[in-house]
Amino acid sequence: MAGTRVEYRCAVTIRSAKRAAVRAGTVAALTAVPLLAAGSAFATDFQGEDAGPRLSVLTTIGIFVGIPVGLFLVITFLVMLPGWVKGDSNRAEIGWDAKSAAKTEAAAPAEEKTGTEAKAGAASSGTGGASGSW
Amino acid sequence: MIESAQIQRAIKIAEKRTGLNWSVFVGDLGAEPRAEALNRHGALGPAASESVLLAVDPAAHRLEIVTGTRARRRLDDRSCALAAASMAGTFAVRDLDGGIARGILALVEHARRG
Repeated sequence: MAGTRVEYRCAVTIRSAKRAAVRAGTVAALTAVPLLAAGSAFATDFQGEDAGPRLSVLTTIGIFVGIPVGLFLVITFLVMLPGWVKGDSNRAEIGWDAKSAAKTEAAAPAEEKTGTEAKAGAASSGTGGASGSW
Repeated sequence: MIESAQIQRAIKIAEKRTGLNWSVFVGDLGAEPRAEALNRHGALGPAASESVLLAVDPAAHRLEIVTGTRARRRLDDRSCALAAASMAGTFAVRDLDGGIARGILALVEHARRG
């Protein structure tokens, strides 16, 4: 076609087309590789489930009851351990723990009591409140 | 004179919502903190019966909450004990102003309407 001249004012269009072709080829290749590799897996007679050997009653109880109960006991022990070692000072201060309150009463003179006992003493004078330490 | 804006704001809220007089003492409470706190509460004069005093001895790690005769009707000892426990927990992490302010606001939440 003599005399006909096509001008591409923007060369980016050609490069975009090449780039799109390369991109499509890459995507197709990457998609095909896993599918081809998976073919060998489908070649086996694996039906999607494998029951395995039958569990005995004891084993079943051990797995579904023993392990959860064991974990519960271990976690409970770890939570309670600091309180057993150091004592629950907050409860001793505010007088909710009967054992701690009894220990405080036995160990300290009357005016040094903390918690409920101190409040009861203050109540006789009409005032109230609470004590604490940290 | 209280310089902490946090405590000042808490006291302002407390006085507005409860109508009680709120005082904070931070300093040495001596060998008998409770007795010293009661003395300081009594020194508030006629207003003592409607006053709540929070006395904190940072050096001795002790705190006392004293409620006057009328204030006690609206703020029982159990509520004070809960606030004291809350304050002690905050003091333990070295936040004195925050502990006092939190204690005041905890007491306000427990105070009955007058």
